[in-house]
Amino acid sequence: MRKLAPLIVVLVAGCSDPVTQSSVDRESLVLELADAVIIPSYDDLAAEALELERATSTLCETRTSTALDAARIAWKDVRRPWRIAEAYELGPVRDLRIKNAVEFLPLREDDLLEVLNGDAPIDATYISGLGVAARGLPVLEYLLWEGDVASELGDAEPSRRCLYIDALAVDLVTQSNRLADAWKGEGYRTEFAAEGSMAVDDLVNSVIEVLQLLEGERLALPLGRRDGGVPQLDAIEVRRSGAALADVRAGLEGVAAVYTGDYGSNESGGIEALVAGANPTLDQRILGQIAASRAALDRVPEPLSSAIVDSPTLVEDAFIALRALLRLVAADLASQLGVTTTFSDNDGD
Amino acid sequence: MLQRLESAVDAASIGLYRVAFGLLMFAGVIRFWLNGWIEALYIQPSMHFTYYGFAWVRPLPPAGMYAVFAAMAVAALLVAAGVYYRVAMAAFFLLFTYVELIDAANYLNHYYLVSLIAFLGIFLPLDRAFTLKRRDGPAEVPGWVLWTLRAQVGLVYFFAGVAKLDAEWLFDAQPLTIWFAANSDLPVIGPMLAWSWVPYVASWGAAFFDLTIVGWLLWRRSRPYAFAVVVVFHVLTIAMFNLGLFPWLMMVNATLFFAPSWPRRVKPPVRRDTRARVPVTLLGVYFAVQVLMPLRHHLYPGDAGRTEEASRFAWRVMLKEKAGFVVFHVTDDTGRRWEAYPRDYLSEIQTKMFATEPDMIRQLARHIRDDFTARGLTGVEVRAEAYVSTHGRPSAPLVDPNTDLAAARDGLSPRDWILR
Repeated sequence: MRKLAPLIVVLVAGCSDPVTQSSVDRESLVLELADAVIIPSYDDLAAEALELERATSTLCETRTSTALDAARIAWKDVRRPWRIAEAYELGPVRDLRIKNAVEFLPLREDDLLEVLNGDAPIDATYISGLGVAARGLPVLEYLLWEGDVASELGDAEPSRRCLYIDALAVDLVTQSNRLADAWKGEGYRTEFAAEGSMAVDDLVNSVIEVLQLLEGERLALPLGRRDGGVPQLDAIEVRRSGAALADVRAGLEGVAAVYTGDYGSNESGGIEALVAGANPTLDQRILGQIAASRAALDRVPEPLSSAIVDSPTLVEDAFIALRALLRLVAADLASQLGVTTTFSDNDGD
Repeated sequence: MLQRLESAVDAASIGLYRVAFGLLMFAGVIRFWLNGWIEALYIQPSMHFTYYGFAWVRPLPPAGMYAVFAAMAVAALLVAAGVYYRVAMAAFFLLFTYVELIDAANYLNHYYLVSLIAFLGIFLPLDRAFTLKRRDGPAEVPGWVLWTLRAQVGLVYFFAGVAKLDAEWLFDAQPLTIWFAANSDLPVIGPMLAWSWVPYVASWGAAFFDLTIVGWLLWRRSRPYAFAVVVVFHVLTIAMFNLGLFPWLMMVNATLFFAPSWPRRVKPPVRRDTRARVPVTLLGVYFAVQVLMPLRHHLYPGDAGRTEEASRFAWRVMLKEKAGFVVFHVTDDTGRRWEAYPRDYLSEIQTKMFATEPDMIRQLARHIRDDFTARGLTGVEVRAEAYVSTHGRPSAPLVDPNTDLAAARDGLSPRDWILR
């Protein structure tokens, strides 16, 4: 043993550089990701919700088609950060039941018509007492697009429909502020980051879930790939506003943000920091596939419902690109990081 | 040798082992219940993956499944108490094994070990000491009783060690490099896990540990140190991996290698003149099966770690970090095409487990065919787009994408549709 001692010392000294993958502190990585991506995107959501509320307030005051157009644009602007944030739909958004309050699907027309045809005064208390099927972005989409909206905004006074629209926008501001506040400071940001590797697992699983949504529910389903090749245009989630493709693009941006750690002008390591050093080939493949998916989506003409009929090959190409990205994340990335691709914590081996 | 096995030994060590085993199983059942796993694993899934020859094993209705687990908890307590011992152990074995046979996606090596120990426990008199039942006569058992349990546990360690004699394990330090990186934020040991040489030392150390630990535990002079190593080894696995009861079970199992009287302050006299014949034939058959099962993967072409043929019941413990992606392509006799997603049929744990297991992919393909047929389609064929990545290597197709898996035959022979 004594003879072996120098050898062991040499071995230890020669090999004591940490491998790149391991040198990344996962708690710091998650904290930085929260600060660079997650919280700023929730702040954007809150800011866009406030813009929407201003637009709907103006709509009810003026009841003009210009104000209606502005409200519709503001609604689409809210969806972008909301869809981006789908890539990290963890913690408060579920725990505080904000997800369903903002977006309950499928839309239940009967529930919103009951409000529309009712006579209870519409105010914040009334709205907060409604079930999630009568609140949130899908209901707002219906109210802002379904039928001849311009003629139903009211004459001398704002109509009940207009008041409903405005009250929903106010509720959206409340929900998005709750969400942003829950993450900040010593809130969920710290709690989540403290989970270290488990937080990374959750993020990767969340990215897998959103990619499954993008390729499976938002493209494959309307394309008819799950229905014997018969396109299912009714399966497009936001067909009234024509925002379906923008939704998919924003979802992909969320995936890219979690992976790269970049959001707008903010930069952090992201999941990529765990991959780039240990498996640069995989890192390049993932970045390349994100870019390819982005390009394929950009080639699809708006709106998705028309593209499926007129340019199905382009939609297919986008679907195939997203499918390839999903495979890279669900198989290659998960295997590289040792991610438990499940939320169950049943015993291991 | 045979004479030594026939001689009586103090029943204290196996009596205490029985108590610990029973309490551990009781805790396991309660843990299972409280975590909601009865619901998640046996009630919620709309389909279950079956074992070859055991497709007839089905879950009971919800109340029945809860009753099974309640009965299992009672049986485990009775085993621990040594009351109605054989009946309790038989009941525990049957209930536990029934539950494990329901869904192959829930297979764990240590669950299999529990079934084996419970099976042996039906026939071995483990209730001669530390029992609440009033007993007459000395607290002794024939030596072969203790050695039967030792041999069973020893085989687990040995074959787990043999499976580690693999180039990827020893020379690439995989999957420990990946797992240690994922645990580098652990307090105290985390930073050490990040050192590049640590996974190599741990890989070689784990192989050495598995292959030799039984010897170190049996040798009286090395035993205290060996047991300390066992405890440290398994405590580390508790800290790093989500292994549930496995490390605790193996720590309890290690006590079987202690001297038979270790739980007593004063070693009682043992009647050296008593002899109990060793059931050579029965034990011979049992252990022949136990030795052949882990070796049977040599009958199959390709890497067992990839094909997963013959990888169960073989103590191939924690050897690979794999992840998979599967989508099914369905056609009917009119030429129409559908995509079918595993998540529409499986629970989360099933989705994870099945994606790297060709036979489970085949079983789900058959289930999907039946589902589409029930919708009124005819001539349904199901093919799989299945990719698996091991240790971060580029994912590769696992099964032939042109084979109608719904029509592929079940059986033990090598599957020609697995891409090896």
